[in-house]
Amino acid sequence: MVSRILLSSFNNNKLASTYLFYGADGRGKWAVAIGLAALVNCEEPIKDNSGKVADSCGNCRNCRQIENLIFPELHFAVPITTHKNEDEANDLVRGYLNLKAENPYRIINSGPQIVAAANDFRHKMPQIPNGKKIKDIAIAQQLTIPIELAREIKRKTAIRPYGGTKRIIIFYQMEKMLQSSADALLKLIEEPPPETIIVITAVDPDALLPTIKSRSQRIRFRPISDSIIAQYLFERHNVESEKASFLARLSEGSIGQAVLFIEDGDMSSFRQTAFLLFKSIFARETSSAMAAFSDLINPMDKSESEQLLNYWQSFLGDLIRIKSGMPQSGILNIDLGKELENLAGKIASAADFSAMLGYIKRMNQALRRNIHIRIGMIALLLGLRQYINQNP
Amino acid sequence: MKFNLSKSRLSGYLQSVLQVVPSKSALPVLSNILFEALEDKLKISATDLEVSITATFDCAVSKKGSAVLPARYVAEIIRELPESEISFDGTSSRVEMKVPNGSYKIACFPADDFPKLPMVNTKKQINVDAADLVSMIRRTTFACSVDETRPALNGVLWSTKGDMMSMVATDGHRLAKVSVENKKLKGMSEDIIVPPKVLNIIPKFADESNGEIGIIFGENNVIFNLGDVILSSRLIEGPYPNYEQVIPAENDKRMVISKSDLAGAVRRVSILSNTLTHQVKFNIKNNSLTISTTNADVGGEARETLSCDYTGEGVELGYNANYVTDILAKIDGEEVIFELTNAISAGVIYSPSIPKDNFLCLVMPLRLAD
Repeated sequence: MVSRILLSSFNNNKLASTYLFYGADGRGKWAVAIGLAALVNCEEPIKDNSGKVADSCGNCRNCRQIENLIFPELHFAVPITTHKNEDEANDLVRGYLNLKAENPYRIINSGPQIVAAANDFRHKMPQIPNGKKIKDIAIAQQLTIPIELAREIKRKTAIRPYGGTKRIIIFYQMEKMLQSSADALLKLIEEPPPETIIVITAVDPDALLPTIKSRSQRIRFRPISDSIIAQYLFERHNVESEKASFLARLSEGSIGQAVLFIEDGDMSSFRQTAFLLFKSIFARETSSAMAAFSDLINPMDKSESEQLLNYWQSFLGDLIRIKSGMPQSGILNIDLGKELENLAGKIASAADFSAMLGYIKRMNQALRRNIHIRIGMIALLLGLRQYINQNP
Repeated sequence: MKFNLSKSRLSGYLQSVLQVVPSKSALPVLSNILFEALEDKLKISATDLEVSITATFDCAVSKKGSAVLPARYVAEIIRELPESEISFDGTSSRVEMKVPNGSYKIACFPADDFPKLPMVNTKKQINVDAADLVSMIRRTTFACSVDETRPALNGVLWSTKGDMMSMVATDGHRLAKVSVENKKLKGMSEDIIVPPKVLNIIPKFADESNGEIGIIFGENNVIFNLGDVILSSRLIEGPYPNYEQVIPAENDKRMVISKSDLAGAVRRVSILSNTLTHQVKFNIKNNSLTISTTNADVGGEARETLSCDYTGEGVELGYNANYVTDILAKIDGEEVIFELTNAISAGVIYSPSIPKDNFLCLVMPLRLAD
């Protein structure tokens, strides 16, 4: 998959040396980056009637190696869990890549998932004397791109690429790289070596260093249309068309989110937790709402809290739609329709809705600044509760 | 794929190829060896993506094909086998090694996953005297930097100009430069930076290549044609710093001294030197060199005086003892010449038996505490 912008730049020989792909997770930033790597390295690209390249062939040796993420000139820096040594870091990266090779839209934000994939990789490769299993991690750790990966990429770029190939470096979820590591990469990003294209991805470009933003050509990944997502779910995951349409609507333009719903069991258990917590905002007693928060929120897991807030935004959006009299068919969380209708009655005005949305957005920004999660979430709860009318 | 060959024949080439297989790698396929059965020949290859090696040799092939086999398993099985004929038979997904008392079956990696190795175009090949090349390598690679913040210094600058070929390596503290004449360069002019890893493998094959080594300078890689074995390496991005400006044109002080006496004294005195700086002090005056060190950490002091042939004013310099002994180990002959200016300028070290233009080393002094 290659975006039209990139294809046109490629055909006009005007590809930039550094790209910044931004937009919510699961909208195809990874898939497009891999598509770009295949496009520039394909041995027999598909051409249209006018002789311009329309896509990579997907069959040549380079295309297949790129699709399997084993192309020698495709380098990655991805967020992983803490690790004991370089071997473990390499295997965690390979585990991450294997998850992505299975499904390029998959959203990976759980440490245990990466550790399990890395152990699976070790298990399947007995000829690699890697030793024992990587220890499972008990709590969902915050993922970071370690500085060793940044250094390794710098080292690799000091060597000239294989003849006849273009080197692609993907810094995936760059906001998860420590600033000191990002500083070390500034020169590389500003002046990539010859025959090299750097792709940086981020959910929010404002979370990156201004120097990185200013040195890259930005491409925004907008929400994917519900029909495309539904078709994807139907074709790739054998989801029946009615359910596919429902999941597509719920995933708000993110194929990755829709895939999460499928992989996470029936209608995502985490979404149900998120809705339970959302309902507790409306609870009569503050103490019972706070108890639910203490029990259900993992104070160590930033990505889980971010996901929780995304669900809340989606629930609150539906409340606004219900309040404004939109028909049932217009709401996203259609399976929760009845309960949402009850909750919508507890908020008095449109101004209150927008104030609540503002609170959630500010909390999302605060999470990126590494605030204390539990205190932040309780402050958010108290902030939101002031708009709830307990006796409508 | 089907072929037969003796254990000893395969084992020799396998050992050569194994030198390049990385002990750990982010790409699992690199822990494997590519076997390609061609018409009457077997070709085995390995790569760590920086250096690649291919050995091609005669073999009784009954069915052509290729397979990617795990290096560790194949090497261990072959090593443990008694001398016998081994028959390889299989497809690209599974290979059976038949030996007189049984058989070993191994699953293979998909051959397409193996990185493409550089093409060898012998039309561009130039030939270099093997002894010359090995001597250039031995005299320079030791000075390469290991600091990854300046990648160009991690390699050896290999230049050809007119009939001259030179190699330079430096880590900013010391430098080694060696030049030889080669009439076969055909007037080519190239400047490439070669990682020391591939250069350090070449001496192991040099004797087997009939006195000459074929070299192909590519845009992104350099290929060494050693007959049965082809070695190639990707190059390091330049530019290489302008090293010539640090080689002093004129030095007014000159010391000629016995190489073995100096090396021995420096090694002994440095035992008590600071473990971080390895600093030893050279005090040279009136045809005598006093090497000394003090180490407050262990309360140690050492001093040895050697006689030398010295012209110029007396001078006191600090050196990293390891740098001096490394250089002395590369210099031929019984005597060595030091050309010096002052306590902060580079000292030039060379052998009286080889012209300075053909081989010189440079060492930067350490600043002495007042």
